[in-house]
Amino acid sequence: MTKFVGLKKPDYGSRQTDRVFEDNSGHDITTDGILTGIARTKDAFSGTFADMMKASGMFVRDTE
Amino acid sequence: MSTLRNVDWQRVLHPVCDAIEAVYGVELEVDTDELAELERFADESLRSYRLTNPNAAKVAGHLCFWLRRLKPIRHAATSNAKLLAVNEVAALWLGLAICDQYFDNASAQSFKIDPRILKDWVASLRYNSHSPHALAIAFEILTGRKVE
Repeated sequence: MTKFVGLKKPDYGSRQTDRVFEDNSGHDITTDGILTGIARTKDAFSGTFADMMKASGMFVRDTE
Repeated sequence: MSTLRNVDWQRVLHPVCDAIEAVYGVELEVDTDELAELERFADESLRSYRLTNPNAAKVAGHLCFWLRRLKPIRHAATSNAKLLAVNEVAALWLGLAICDQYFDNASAQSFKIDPRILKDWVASLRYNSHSPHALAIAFEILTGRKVE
């Protein structure tokens, strides 16, 4: 295994991460926007997915 | 400016919790103090990008992480059933809901996920190690425009 040695600690604070990651073009993350998304993705979280969750160990029902 | 402070967390989680209650026959409670804590931590971890305005996939990833980490959703004492992964389901749903609408910037307008993969993702969120940055990348890949 390669051993890295040196007296000076790496200066992570100098990295320009904003040049690496894509920035947003101005969209806001808003309450109304998220509510719209929740409604639009509702089908994905019901039906077959819900049946699979119920059949898994992640679901417990009171059997009494 | 993309900020988490605009979002009314109680209002956002209501339809998610209502739907989970209806589908699984559970009774849920949400700690609003922990929602405020969630917002604070997500805001802080998003700053690591040093972006003025991180895109929707990054915001979704960090919120998803802190929701499954802080677990503000609980079962009421009167609940006759329990979805043990309720916070993980809500976290993933919230993340996908955020990404779903930003189709012209790092997200597709609509995307379909195989229910089996969705279930495995929930299980992984519950039982495996994750980081906010890894989740953000997962959302970027999932919702990103396909290269021809």
